[in-house]
Amino acid sequence: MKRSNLAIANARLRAEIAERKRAEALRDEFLSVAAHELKTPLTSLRGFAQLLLRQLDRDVAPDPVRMRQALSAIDQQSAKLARLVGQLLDVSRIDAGQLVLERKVADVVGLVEDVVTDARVNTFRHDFMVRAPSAALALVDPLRLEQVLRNLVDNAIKYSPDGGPIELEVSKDPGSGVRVVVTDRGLGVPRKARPHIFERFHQAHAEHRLGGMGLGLYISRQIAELHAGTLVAEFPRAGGTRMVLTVPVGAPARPGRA
Amino acid sequence: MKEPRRILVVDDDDTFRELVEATLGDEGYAVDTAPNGLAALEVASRFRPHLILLDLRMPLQDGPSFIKAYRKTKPPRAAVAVVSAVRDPVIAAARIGADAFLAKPFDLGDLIHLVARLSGG
Repeated sequence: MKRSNLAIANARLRAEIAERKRAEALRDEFLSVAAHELKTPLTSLRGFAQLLLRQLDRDVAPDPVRMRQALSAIDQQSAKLARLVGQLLDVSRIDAGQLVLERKVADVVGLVEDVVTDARVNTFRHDFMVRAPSAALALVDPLRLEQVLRNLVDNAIKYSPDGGPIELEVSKDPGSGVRVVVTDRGLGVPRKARPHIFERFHQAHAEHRLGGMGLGLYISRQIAELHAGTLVAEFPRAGGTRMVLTVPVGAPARPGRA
Repeated sequence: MKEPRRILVVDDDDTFRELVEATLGDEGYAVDTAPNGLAALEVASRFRPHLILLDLRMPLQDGPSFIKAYRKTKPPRAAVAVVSAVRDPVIAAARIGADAFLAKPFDLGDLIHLVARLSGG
């Protein structure tokens, strides 16, 4: 082998090793973050269950206010744990090529409204504004699309910790299908992190310790692409983040036809 | 009647703060809370806790930065126990010179025992 060829081969090998090391470090960090995230709801679940047991073991009548507080914490934290486990399973399904859509004709506007209704219950600091036509039918997997919308709205809330407006706009575009735009005026994404936000395990605001495993946007983009759609991020000059989800209408959308 | 021992809980998880407040409240402690290190410094100066239960990973100011800043405040200062879900809480607690650690998730009995031992009640 010529000396120059050898040098090229060596350089390639070095790059490959560096890339593998980076992937290993990312995976290691992910496992550490995932364990931390799973232990957090687990701590409250176990704690509130034990708190109730301690109350019942005492000879006084259990305090109904305390019981309600404990049971509602158990309810919320188990839902949180289920969401985290669901994300881990989704990633493993995506890796194995086994994430399969169950498409039917659904109203994207209805899905957006459901997600916003739920989000309003969970935050008092954010104002939601929805602009949408009366309906926007498309051939989609409604549960998976709702998962994407929920992720985008959750991110908008999480990354605007001081509250503020969150806008959702649904539009029908004859060329590209149904478009949902979610805009917040929160922290935005640092320029350096922008190319990586759809990579798995990536957290744009790791330093803010806002929680999560860095899987949400990765899974959301995969779901959008399985629909032959797109999910892209835009960063308005005024700050905040604008996420644009587009899904094709699919087969001629007629209610009742799958 | 003896004045209750004061415990400050510093953790960014609202549900966790509620849990510890309820548990230690039932045990007769006076409890105050803060969602990050920055807020904790302010609460500590007013509340003068006997013990601080400190999470490590928090927004704004994390556990290690809090402890550094807290050590510069006027004595008497509280004992500090790290209560965290990080992979190696023992190492993390030792590194920042905390008095004790409790790994999440834990048994409530262990929490109560630790608080009784460290709050000097």
